[in-house]
Amino acid sequence: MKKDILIMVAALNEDKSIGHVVIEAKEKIKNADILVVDGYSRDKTVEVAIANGATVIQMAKSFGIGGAVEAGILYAYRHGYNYFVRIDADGQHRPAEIINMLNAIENNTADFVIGSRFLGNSNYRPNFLRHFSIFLISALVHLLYKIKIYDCTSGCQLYNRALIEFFARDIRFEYSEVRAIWTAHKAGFKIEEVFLNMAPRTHGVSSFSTLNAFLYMFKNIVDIIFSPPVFIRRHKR
Amino acid sequence: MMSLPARLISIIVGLVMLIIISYLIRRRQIYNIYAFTWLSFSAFLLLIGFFSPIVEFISYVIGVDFTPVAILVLIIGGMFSILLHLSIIVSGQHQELKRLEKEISLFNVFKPK
Repeated sequence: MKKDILIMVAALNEDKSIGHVVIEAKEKIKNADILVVDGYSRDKTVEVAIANGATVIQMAKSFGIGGAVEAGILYAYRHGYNYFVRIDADGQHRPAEIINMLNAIENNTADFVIGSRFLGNSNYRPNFLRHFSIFLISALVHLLYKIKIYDCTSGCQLYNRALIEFFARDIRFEYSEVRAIWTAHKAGFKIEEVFLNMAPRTHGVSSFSTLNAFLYMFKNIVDIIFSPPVFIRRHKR
Repeated sequence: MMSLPARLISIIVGLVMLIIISYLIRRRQIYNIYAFTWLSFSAFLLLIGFFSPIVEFISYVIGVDFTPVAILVLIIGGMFSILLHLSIIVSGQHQELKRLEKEISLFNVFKPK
């Protein structure tokens, strides 16, 4: 049976948690295939993912998480999936909550749904630097692109077919959570935020160390400030 | 006015650079469009060797009284443009490599058992 949804998990050295994520996603969302994009992990991430029923492709980790997600988008495009969801490999995005996002996209006319950590009463408590950088990026996106997104840096994003095609066909597209948002907005896609509660991390450490947090903030802010005016072909709905 | 030795050195260095670059292009060790900035740099050295008043004119325009400093400024500017060109090339190649890596990753799909 042809499945409709592609759930993409970018993983690097996550063999402790990846099996759990894959099993839970398969259980909760029936008509979905799971794609794990592995960055040539040193541990058994690939074996564990395959054994639990995920499809695996490998993308060199030097292209970062952006490269992995782009590979996932290209996979979804070539294999004709109608929806593309990206979740984290550490199990912090609950598949049960992703169903809410899928409902939102099916009922509404939104093309792009963001699983936002800040809309409802969340368990998510970021540290000060992280919170500040998210706030700053949100404010800049609001100022320069006239779109109010509370959680710009959420890794949980859902695209419909039109948006998958739009991203996959643009060979100069470089994925980052924030850039995906404003590129899609500029191109005329409709973006919606849905509350997503985060589960606490069970294994491993976040890639978001203090240095990485600064680099991430710097990269995104440079990106936001130097990009306009952007020339993006508008998408016809 | 530039002294004769300075003009000779400038001409010789420009010619040597021109020869090396054209040799590398012929041996396909530099892809020709990437050699563009290098060739313009050697052309610039030859230009100031043959028509040295141009250097005085440039130093007058940029407001440097001591002509050798103007030459240094111009050479540093040339270096910067070469570096900038290299950065553009590297970024383009990064993009191209990523595109290829994505295509290759789609060839090796490990299906679940």
